[in-house]
Amino acid sequence: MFVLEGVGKTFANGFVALRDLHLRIAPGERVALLGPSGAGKTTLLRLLNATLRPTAGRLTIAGLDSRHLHGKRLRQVRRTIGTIYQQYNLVPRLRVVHNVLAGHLGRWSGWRAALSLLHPLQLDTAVAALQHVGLADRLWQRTDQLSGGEQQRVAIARVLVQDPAVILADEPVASLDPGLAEGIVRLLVDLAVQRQKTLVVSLHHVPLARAYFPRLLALQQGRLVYDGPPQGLSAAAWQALFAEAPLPAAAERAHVRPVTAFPL
Amino acid sequence: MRRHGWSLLLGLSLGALTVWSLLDTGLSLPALLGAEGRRQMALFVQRLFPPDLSPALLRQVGQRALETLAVSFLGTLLAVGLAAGLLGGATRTLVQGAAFAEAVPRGKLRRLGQALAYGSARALLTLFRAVPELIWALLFILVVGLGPFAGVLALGVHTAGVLGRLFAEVLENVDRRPCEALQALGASRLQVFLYGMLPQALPELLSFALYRWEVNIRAAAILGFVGAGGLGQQLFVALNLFLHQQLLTLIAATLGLVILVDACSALLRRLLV
Ligand SMILES: Nc1ncnc2c1ncn2[C@@H]1O[C@H](COP(=O)(O)OP(=O)(O)OP(=O)(O)O)[C@@H](O)[C@H]1O
Ligand SMILES: [Mg+2]
Repeated sequence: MFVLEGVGKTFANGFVALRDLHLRIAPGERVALLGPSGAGKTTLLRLLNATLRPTAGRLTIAGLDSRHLHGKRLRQVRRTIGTIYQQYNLVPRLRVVHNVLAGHLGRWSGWRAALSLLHPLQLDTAVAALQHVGLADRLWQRTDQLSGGEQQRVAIARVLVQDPAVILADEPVASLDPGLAEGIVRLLVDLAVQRQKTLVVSLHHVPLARAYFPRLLALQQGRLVYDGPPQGLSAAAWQALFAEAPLPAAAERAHVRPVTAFPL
Repeated sequence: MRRHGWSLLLGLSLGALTVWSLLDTGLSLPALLGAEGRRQMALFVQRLFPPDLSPALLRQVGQRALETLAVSFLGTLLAVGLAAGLLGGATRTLVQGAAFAEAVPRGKLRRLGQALAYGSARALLTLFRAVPELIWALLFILVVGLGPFAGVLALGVHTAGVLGRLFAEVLENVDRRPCEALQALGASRLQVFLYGMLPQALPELLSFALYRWEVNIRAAAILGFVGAGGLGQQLFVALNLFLHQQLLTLIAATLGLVILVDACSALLRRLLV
């Protein structure tokens, strides 16, 4: 599905976020991406979903070199990759139904899209997707009235409607409380298993990653420092990995995201 | 130290500007508040009474007031249409396709085209709003003749310049993260606009349009001075023919109209925004 050969990403301001990544993710694989804050997890996922382009090396998505993706072809590739972000996935002022139906946009023409805002099209797909995540009764509610966890499930419903070959999730549970977190991860994993989708999830919570993913990737300061099964590294080694995080960032993180209170 | 210097410079410049403006406009307090000035004012106010409330005049004023209302409303509507038409070029994030991530390296020609589209849309908007409504009205009277239609066109064009820029800035400043998410699932530029940018921006866009309607009802009342219909035309005649008793009726009608539109606008804002 993805092949990275010496991929690097240097931002316009000169900051090197990723360097020399070699890695290959096969269709149907389930991979967890771990690493301290600032390690480059989000950047890697934005490369994989063709939002950013590598500045070094070669990234192939489903056999296509990302450097040569433009216009229509780029849209087609993006259509096959569904992404769930940590937050701000959804348009807050839109009703839930439209946020979910937005999953069709890669297939819909501009006219269909506009029409659907006035009179929702393929409503049954939205209903089915929301049923799957247990939010069928929220169809007509405004999205910003939902709680964080509910919004995350709406984002998953949108991916269900999109029906991509790959699901990427960037710390999908970082802003949720621990009880909800496991539920969301399980939802994603079940989905990937049942419908044979490739799943790449960045996580902060090592136990969750070890419990649900056969393959773990660890990033540290933009480099890949581990790629293998959960058994390959001891709990202590994981702890050491995260201890590398620069302190001020860790403190800031603890302030905004209660999830760091987890035992790592 | 440095900041102090700048504040001082700014203060002095403002002071100098004020003094120069006072001298240049020939402002004189005695002329305004002296015995002669006061006498003239009292005389003018006296002549306004009693207001002319004859049915014939009232009917005419009513008609003109409705005309003014229609001009202000249609003018604002036209402005919203024109501004919307130019938004695709005037909004930076819409011109550059991949604005929600990083600029995709594209051909030089393509970038030049984008810069040209953006530059010309913005320049057109600047031209629209730099020329005052009254001048636009004079111009359109030459084209379509005297009457309210010229007023609608004049208000429409000038206001399009104002609203176009405001709209573009609102759209450029929406939260980009939901838009990036839409782009990432394969949405086209138009779809990102419809599903991501517009819903976020709509309350502000409406609010600006309603505010401009309030401004335009005042402007529409004046447009008649140059022959573009409405209350202004009659106000102009009454002033020039010294029909002072009609004048009070007309001023009252204008005031009533302004209050009415402000109230309508407030109501709509509460309902829609
Ligand atoms: N557009 C950008 N321009 C410059 N630097 C950036 C940009 N985006 C991200 N970075 C930097 O790249 C580094 C990696 O960022 P990234 O968001 O990928 O980290 P992360 O592993 O997802 O961290 P977190 O766990 O905090 O989300 C950070 O230091 C960040 O400041
Ligand atoms: Mg991140």
